[in-house]
Amino acid sequence: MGGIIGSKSGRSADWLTIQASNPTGNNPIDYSVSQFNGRQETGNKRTTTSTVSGSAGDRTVNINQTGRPLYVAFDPLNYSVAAAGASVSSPLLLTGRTNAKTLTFSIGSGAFIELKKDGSNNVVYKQHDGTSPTGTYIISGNGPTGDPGLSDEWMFCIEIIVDENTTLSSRSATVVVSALGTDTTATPVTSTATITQSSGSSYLWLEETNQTEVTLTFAWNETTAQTVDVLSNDQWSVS
Amino acid sequence: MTNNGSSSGNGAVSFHPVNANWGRLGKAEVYFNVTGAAGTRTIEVSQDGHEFVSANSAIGEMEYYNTEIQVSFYTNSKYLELALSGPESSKFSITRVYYTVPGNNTPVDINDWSGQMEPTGDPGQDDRYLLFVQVSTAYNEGQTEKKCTLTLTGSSGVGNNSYSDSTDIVQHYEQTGDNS
Repeated sequence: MGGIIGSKSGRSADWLTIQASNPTGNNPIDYSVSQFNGRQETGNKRTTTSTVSGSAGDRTVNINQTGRPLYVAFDPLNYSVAAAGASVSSPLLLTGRTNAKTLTFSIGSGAFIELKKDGSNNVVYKQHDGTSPTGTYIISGNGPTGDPGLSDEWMFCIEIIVDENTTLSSRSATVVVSALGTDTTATPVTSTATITQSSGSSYLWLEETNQTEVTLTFAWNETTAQTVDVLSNDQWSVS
Repeated sequence: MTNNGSSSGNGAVSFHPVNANWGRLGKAEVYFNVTGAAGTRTIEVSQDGHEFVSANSAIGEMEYYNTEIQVSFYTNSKYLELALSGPESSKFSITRVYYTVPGNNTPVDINDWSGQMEPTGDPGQDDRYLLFVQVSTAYNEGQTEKKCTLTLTGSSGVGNNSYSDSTDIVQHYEQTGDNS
């Protein structure tokens, strides 16, 4: 006598795969699930049921899947920026993935970078749809509306302003993102992105940037010194 | 020229003329180069000139028995004119005019001082020179001082500017017991 195997769930069960290779007699049913990236928290799980039907009646298999531990990761972890830097209007964009409820951003190291801020001087970030930033700015320390991290992974992004590198050496900075779930007393999980900026070019100016000539005129009886400031990031000589 | 800054990174370069410029013309521009990997930058340095006439003494005094005195002026003018003035100026006369240039004490006589004089080679372009004027008068037999004013006026022929200075020439009289 054969049996009819079906699945019945209160919600979409596209994450569940049922395999019954020999639905007759005593034989197993294999249940497998896809990764559940929703945040692991008390009471947070996804559930569905599978019905095993036969002439003797329906039998129910309840499937529960707990969430993934809180995580956050910049993706990618390493970024490059040219010596010219990145402006407010054309910033460097760091992206990442998480199932957190809230994210907090800070500069780990590097005095030549600045995190995007709103008009009230709050660091802000956005969600990302895989192609570009989406939605409105979220203040650092807060999270997107509806806590999407409970049910799945979501992407984030933050804009970085980078000063021009006027030194002759490349330099690096780091940005740290800290993630929290519902329990704000827990230890946050973090991820660090590294930004490497190319070295600048040698420059040499007299008195002010872009000035290449200076004229000094002394009065007939003036023997006290006049000084010309030299602006440079490299070696120079006078002849 | 003094380099006051480091030769790497930000720094400074200082310049100062060694001496005042006594010439009528400004010192020619001198160009200094500041050179680095980014290229060569130029500092142009010059010193202004100025024109002047300066008497070396405000008063030239003669005893009653002296019949000539020599006064001098520093100047850098191209053209010079001398004039005696005062109520008794007719009792004095200029009897010699000559000049010397820096580094050479050999006097160069000017033979005609009645009008505009022009020292040879315009020595005032680059430096000041000394003009000596010999003024003569007769023995003072009077009971009062005899005086006049010698004025040197210089010009360069550029614009209407001229520069003057003067020396008062005073010949004393013989003091006797009844001069009260």
